[in-house]
Amino acid sequence: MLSKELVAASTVPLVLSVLTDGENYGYALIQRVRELSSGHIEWTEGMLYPVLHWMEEQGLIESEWQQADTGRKRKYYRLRKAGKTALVAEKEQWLIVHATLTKLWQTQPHSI
Amino acid sequence: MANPTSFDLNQAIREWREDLNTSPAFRAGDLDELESHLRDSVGALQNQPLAPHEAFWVARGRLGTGEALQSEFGKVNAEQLWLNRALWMVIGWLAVGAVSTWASALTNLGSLGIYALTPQAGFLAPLGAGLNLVVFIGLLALAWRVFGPAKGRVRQAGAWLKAHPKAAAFILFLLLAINGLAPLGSSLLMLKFMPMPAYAELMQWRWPIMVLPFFVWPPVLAWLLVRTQRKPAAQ
Repeated sequence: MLSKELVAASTVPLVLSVLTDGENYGYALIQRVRELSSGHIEWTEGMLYPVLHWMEEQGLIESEWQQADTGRKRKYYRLRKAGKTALVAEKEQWLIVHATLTKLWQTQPHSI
Repeated sequence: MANPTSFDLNQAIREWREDLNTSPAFRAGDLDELESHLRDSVGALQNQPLAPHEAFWVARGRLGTGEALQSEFGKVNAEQLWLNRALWMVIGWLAVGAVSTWASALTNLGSLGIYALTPQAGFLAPLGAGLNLVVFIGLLALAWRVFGPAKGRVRQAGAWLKAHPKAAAFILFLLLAINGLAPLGSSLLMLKFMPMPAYAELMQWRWPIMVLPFFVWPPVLAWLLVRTQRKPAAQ
């Protein structure tokens, strides 16, 4: 299980990345991330929504209530242009961190 | 916990929602979205399969506690939260003003009684000031004793006032009227039965205590400012 600080820091890039596959609603976003991370990334589920609303305020995503087949309404989120740009920047930063740690751990395999 | 045999999922969800609805941190749309999530989660857990009451409690736990949700939603709904806080600050200011006013009115009557018994005594003014302070603190303690343990009820009253703006306006008007009329009436009574120099000396001693309650609010406001305006973070 990841630390809560790392989970919090990765929420925005994770949401942006999942939404590149198309629009989705909160519950399904959480299931998708849980599935992709093999259960390592676990959000306290309700905490995702304030982040989604904050991202919407920042213009990264937009939302729309839609009626599901069951008749119940769900709020779907989709990426906006600014979200796609933000994702490119996020990806660059996370890859730098990943590459740096990979190099460090390859050169010091016995020190950890 | 509810008896599993008599568990009503819709009723449980309604009660859970009503509980969250007492907080100003949520907008109606937020609660719709959380409820939709809760129902999705309950549905998935029932397919595992779990009994409806088990599925509800597990899904509710995964969604987060009311306090945690309130804290995170409060960060994105800061504007609404501040409007609500501003309303409570006005009500609080008026309530403290009302307590101060009643303390002042009671002190006026007390001072008048002391003056009637010992008109020549030199200690009337400091005694009146002390009496004012004691009565004010006593009334505040009484108000705290009555409303302090009932925060849930106070929040419910707040939700009721929001839903009934006309009644809220009337109560505010009533508080303002009490704040104005009670000290005016008792002061006129004092002026009728007490010579002006004695009255003036008494007021000279008492005015700092009378205005003190109104300076309580700036630090409260500063404290609230420090606590808000943070970015939400999923955990």
